[in-house]
Amino acid sequence: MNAQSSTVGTRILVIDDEPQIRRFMRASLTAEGYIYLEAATAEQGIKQITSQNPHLVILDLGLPDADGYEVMQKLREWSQVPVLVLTARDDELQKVKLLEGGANDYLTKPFGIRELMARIHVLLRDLSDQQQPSAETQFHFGELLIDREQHKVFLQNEVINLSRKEYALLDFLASHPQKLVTQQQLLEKIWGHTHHEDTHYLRIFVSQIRKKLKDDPAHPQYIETEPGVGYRFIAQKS
Amino acid sequence: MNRHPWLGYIAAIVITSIAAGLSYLLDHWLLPTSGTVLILQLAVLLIAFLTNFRAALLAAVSAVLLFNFLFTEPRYSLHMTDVDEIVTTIVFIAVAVITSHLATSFRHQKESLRQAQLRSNILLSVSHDLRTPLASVIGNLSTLQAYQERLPEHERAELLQGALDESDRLHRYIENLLQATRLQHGEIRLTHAVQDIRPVISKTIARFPAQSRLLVHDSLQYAMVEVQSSLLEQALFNVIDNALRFSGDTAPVSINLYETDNAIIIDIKDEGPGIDSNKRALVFNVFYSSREKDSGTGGTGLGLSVAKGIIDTHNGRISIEDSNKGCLIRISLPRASMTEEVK
Repeated sequence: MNAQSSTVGTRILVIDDEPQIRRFMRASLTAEGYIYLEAATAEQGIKQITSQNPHLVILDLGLPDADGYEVMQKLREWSQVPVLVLTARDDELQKVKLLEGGANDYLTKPFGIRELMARIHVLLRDLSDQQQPSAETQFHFGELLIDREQHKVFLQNEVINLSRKEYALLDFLASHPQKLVTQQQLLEKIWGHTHHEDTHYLRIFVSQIRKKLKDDPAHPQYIETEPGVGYRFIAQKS
Repeated sequence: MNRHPWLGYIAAIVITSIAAGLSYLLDHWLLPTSGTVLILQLAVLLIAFLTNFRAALLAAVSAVLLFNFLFTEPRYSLHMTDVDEIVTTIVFIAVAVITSHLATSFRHQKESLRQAQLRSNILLSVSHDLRTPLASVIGNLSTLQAYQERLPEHERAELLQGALDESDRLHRYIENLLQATRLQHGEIRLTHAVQDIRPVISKTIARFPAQSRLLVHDSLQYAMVEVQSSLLEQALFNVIDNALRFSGDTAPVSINLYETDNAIIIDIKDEGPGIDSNKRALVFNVFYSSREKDSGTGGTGLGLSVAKGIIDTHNGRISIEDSNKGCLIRISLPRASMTEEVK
């Protein structure tokens, strides 16, 4: 896993009412070098966020004293701390609602610890990216090269012909590697405020991009679909 | 009303008669014939929505006969001469049949919607209850695998123990789920044996890590029952598990064994919050749980319903009794007679 030096002093708060879940989170997060904080109820969790000011919150949706969505809304009134939501339901509508309500990503139970760590790293990296915007103009992802100065995309050194919207879509996804980008975020970014419902645009454009990048949707190398929710650019920067 | 079709027929007769009576009264105040038809039509519609198709047809036929008898010339006879009234009658029957038909399909759709919602709720609840312990097992084991050398010895032991405990929980849940399915389909064939109930109870108690909180008081003189011990054990386990869950971390649960003239009684009493009297009938329903949404507190909604299913197949009774504090669940099993014991 990642170098521990970057995790020093990073506080992560876990809000989950299942002691068993908290136990392995404590063991793994501590082993990664994070400062582990915990809460078993929404009320305790909110208190911890105000007093401890964590860098990241892992929030379970099934808390005994409050609905996860309400906690999310309440939190977003005064805090922009990244939130990773844990849910025991595989329910697209619920996920969309949460992401729109301000959650940054979600994991469906059960999950392996490596998956959790990968999501945490992405969310924390976003945080440091915001502080120092990158001056890079070329992004390499294996055989794929995105040149932001020329607005061109190369696959195995050959130019790929992308329309302006296709380029914008790929560029937006690739500038948030490993991060879940919701359909709404994409539509708003590329088509504007009036196209919130037009998710079929996305399906068409993404499938065109995939064709041009020779990306198999069943085993994607570049763009992964989160059904009903959004997309994730999964290639690693090289 | 669907369970008793005759209730529908009675409602049909009563409502139609009221409508006809009302029309007859208003008739004196010069209600036109078309007004009478509308009132009777309303009665048929009402019955169609409240009861069933056949009752609505009965209502339609009686409404037509009453209309003919009371309101058409010649009055007080079933003869009809006026062409207008014959046409009105025919249209009346047609409208009545169509509305009854619509009402029936509306009711069917409402019912299937309710069924679909119920099924999807059950599916959500089951998937939640399977995923929660699995999340702990996978989380604990993958943490062990990924951080083995970085974890202190006692944490490694805790993670392993946690994975085992949660696997047990998952196992019990799956057993209950299978048992509930079998009970619902009536697939349980009992291989009864007449035996002493006390070893069944002590075997059940031995399965709990919190044995010291279980206080058994045994005043049985005669303890023979005819049961399938593995099933009875599961029923007792579920009831005691429930009692322990609702009485906090330390409060005791008492188990009293005694007998009446024809039954062996097991009283299981906790010191938890108890159950509101208006919810007592519900707790034995499958998938009923005090749990709200996805929170981990409260049970799976299977334990007590499975216990009831098992006790029922043993011709026993399980009930919630009045208790000044906490919840008292009483299980009564018929005493096995001595002759059967000899057999």
